[in-house]
Amino acid sequence: MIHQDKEPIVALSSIPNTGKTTLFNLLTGSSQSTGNWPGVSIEKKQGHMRLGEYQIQLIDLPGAYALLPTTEEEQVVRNFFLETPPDVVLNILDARNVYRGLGLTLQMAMSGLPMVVAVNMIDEVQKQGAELDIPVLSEHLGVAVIPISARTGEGLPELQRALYQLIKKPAHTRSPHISWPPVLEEAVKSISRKIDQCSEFQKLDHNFLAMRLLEDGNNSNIVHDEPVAMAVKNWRQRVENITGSEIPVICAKCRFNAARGLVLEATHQQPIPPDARSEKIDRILLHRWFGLPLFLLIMLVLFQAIYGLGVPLQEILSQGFDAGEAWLRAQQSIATLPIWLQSFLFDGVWQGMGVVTSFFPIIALFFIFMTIIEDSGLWHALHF
Amino acid sequence: MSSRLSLQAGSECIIRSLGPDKKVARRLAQMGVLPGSRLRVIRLAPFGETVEVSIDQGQYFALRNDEINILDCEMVAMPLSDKSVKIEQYYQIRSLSGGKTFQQKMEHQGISPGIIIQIRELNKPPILIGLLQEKKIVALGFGEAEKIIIEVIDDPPG
Repeated sequence: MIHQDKEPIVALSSIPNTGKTTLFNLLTGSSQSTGNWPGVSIEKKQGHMRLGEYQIQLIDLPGAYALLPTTEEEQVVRNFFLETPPDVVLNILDARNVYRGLGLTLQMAMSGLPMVVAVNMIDEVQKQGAELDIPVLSEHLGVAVIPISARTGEGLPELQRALYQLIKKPAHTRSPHISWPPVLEEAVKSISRKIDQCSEFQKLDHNFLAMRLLEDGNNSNIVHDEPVAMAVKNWRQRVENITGSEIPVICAKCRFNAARGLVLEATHQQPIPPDARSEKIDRILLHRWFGLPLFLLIMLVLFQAIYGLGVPLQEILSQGFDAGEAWLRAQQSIATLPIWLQSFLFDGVWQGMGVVTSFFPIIALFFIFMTIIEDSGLWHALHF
Repeated sequence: MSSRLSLQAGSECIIRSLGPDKKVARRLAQMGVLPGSRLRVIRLAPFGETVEVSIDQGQYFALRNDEINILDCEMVAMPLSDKSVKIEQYYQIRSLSGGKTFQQKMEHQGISPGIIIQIRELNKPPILIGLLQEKKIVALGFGEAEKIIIEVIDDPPG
C-alpha cells in the first residue's frame, strides 16, 4: 500500500495522438485544450483526481514513441520516467492501431512499474465492425487492459476502478516476453547484476535500466556508477559488433516483433484503415493538384464571409457610437466642461473606443471560423 | 533484387533494410517501420516533397522523399514505367491510377486490374505489352505506363 502522507502519482503516457489529453481532462475534470494534431502536449501537465480515499496527482506526459528520445517531448518523458518514476503508469493505446502504440507499451511494461492500459477509441473500432480481444491483450501484457472511449466517457468507471485497485495494492508489472538476440540478453543480465550492487534504484526494474543504458549509452545521467558505465560501454560495442546493427534498431525490432504477434492474436479482423469517411474527404482535400487551390478557395470564402458579415455589423456599431456621441454632446453637464477636456473625451476616449470596438465583429468572426477550421483538422492536413 | 520504392500512388515494396542514415533508421524503427514491413504509397503531396505511405499493420505516415529514397526495398508493385520492370517478364495489373477517362480508355484496350501481361518492348517508346488472355499486343505511351500499377508474379503462367 502506498503511503497516505504522499499523493500517489499516476502518469499518463502514450504515443502521440491517442487522446491522452482528452482522457486527462475526463479524469481530472479540467479543460486543457486538446488538438487533433500530434505534439499538442509538449510540457507535462498536472491535475488532481479523487479515487475513493486517495487524492491522486495525475501527470499528462507529452506523446512519445519510445523512451530513447529523438524529440524534445520524448526527452521530457524519458527524464520523468527515469528520474522520478511514478507510482502507476496509465498507458493509452489507440484501438484503431494497437500495433503502433505497443512498442512503447512493451517498453513501459519492462520498467516493472504498476501499470494499467486503456484502449481508447474502442467505440470507433466497434462501429467499423472490428473486434479487439481485450482479455488476450491483458493476459499477454500481464496488466489490466480497459477498453474506453475518452470522447464519450465509456469505460471510465472501469478504468477508475482498475487504477484504484492498483494504488491500493500496487503490483509490479512482470517483464513482457520479448525474444532478444542472445548477446543482447547476456549484456542486459550482466549490466543488471552490476546495477544490483549499487542500491540507488528501487522502483525500476534493473533489467529495464540495463536495457535503457544499452540503448542510450551516452546519457550517463541515469546511473552514476563507474563500473556500470564501463560495462555498458564494453557491452554496447560487443553487441553491435556481433549483431552488425545499432542497438536501438535491434531493440525496436524485437519489441515490434512481439507487438506483431500480439496484434495477430488480439484482432479478429484485418487491420482497419483509420476512417473510411475521412479517407474519402482526404482524397478530395489532399488531391495532388486540386488540394492546394481548394484550400485557398476555402480560405477565400472564409475571408469573404468574415467581411461580408463583419462590415454591416461594423457599420451598425459605428452608427451607434456616432449617435451616442451626439447624445452625450447634447448633455448639459458635459457641454459646460472646458473645450480641451471635451475634445479629449470625444475625440480621444470615445472615438478610440469606437475604432477598437468596430474591429470586434471582424475579429470575433475570424476566431469563430478559425475554430471551425481547426476542429475540422484542415490545418493539420495543410502540413502535409 | 533490391531497389528504391518508386514514388507513384499504388506502388508497394517490402523493406529489406532501413538504410544508412542512423537517425532516420532509428526513428522509423521506433514507429514500427522495420525490415519486413510492407510499404505502400498512398498519395504524393502537391510538390512531391512529402509522400503518404501505409504499412501492412494499417498505419499511415507521411515521409519525406529523401527518407524513402534511402530505404532498401524489394518491389512488390510499381508503375509499368518503373526502372525495375524487365522485358519478357510477366506481371499482373493491380490497379489503374488516374481519372475515369483514362480507366475507360485502358479498359477499352483490354487493360484492367487482374489481367496478366508480358513486357515486349520497354526501352524505346511506345512500350509494348502483350495481354496474355486476349493474345494481343497493346502499345502504350510513357505517360500511360506511369499510371498502370503492376505486380510482380513469381511463376510465368502456363
